[in-house]
Amino acid sequence: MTSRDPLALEPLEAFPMPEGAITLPDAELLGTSRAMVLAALQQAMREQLLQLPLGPQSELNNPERCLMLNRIAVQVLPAGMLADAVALDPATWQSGAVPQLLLAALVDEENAVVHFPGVLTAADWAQASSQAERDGDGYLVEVEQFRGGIERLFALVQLLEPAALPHFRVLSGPVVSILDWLSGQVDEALLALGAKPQPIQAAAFRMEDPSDFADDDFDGYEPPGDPLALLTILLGIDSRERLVSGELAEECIEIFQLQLAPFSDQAGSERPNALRLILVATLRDDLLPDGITLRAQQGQHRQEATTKASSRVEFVFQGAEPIEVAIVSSNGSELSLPPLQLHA
Amino acid sequence: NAAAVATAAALELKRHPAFSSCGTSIEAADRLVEALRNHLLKPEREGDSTPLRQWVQQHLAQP
Repeated sequence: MTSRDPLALEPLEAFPMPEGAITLPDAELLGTSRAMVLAALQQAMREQLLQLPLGPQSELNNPERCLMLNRIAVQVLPAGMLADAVALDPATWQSGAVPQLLLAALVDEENAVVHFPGVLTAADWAQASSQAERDGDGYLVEVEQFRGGIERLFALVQLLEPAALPHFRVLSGPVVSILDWLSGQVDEALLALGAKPQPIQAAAFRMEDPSDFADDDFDGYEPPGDPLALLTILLGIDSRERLVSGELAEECIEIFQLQLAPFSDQAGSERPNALRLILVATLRDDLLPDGITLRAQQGQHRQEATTKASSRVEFVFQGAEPIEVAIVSSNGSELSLPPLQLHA
Repeated sequence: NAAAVATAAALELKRHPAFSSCGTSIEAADRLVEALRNHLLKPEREGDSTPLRQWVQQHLAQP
């Protein structure tokens, strides 16, 4: 019979501390993870002889508020020291408190050690968002997406003018996946607007007259691929000059429609990497009402056109960032779609 | 550390018109700091001691 040797050592779980990790003295005075992150940030600045203004003083310990470091809004995304992803919840962004930089902070609370893997700019996020795992209305962002360590944070906040760092976008609502349309699934938010999937008719998308294009920069653009799905939203101007959609639009005298057609620019691919937005009259040779503005934005890329003796307005967007679309009537009545994402 | 020295050097260079873009471009700022850091740590000519090591040795040699 064998017995367990009481003097045998249990295998020790050990892992190396990341290079550049900051050990905090007086850890018992700090308490929260957020306090440790702030202490580590301030310690790093002291060690590098930096005197950068850090605020707002009244909200430093509020985990939902951005830090203002040298006039640049920085959101701290904490996680445990061994975490391979940090949680990002854009719902915490409020008007006037939207970050320009995201700073990952890995914290070993027991040993009072903090490691800063790096920062994400809004442009970095545009690349990383397509790979980020969804977590409810938020995201799980891999730690390896953050680069440069605390040094990159200090370099960017010192070198760049605040206006040179675009803010992350605050989306109008939960993002809708365009990919779902290919299997006939349409989000409730779009159904509420009267969106209807349509059979794809490629002929409907051929540009017959370039002069119909509202964009003065039109240069003979031809759609590179047939649509992989098609959603239409019927729009109308009611008797009170309000912009309405769906069933309400059917009762209007002036009726037109918004077509949303995802497509791929790679022949034979069944995965869309681009979205066409088309504002068009319901009758083939009819004109759109004057003064209707189609506005769409994806990251820093914005397109806008207003109808005037137009039969068609068309935009194309590519990339993984959410696309926000709004239609505005001549008297300012606005209809917005939920943010749409290609997941390219 | 090398990154802190590189950032301080970049701040000085930013005053020069040839380097002014690093104040308005994230990519330019990243590239400038990285290039300066690489120069401090890894000079191109073989056999040379890195500038950062030279400065540290000179500072330590002072009475």
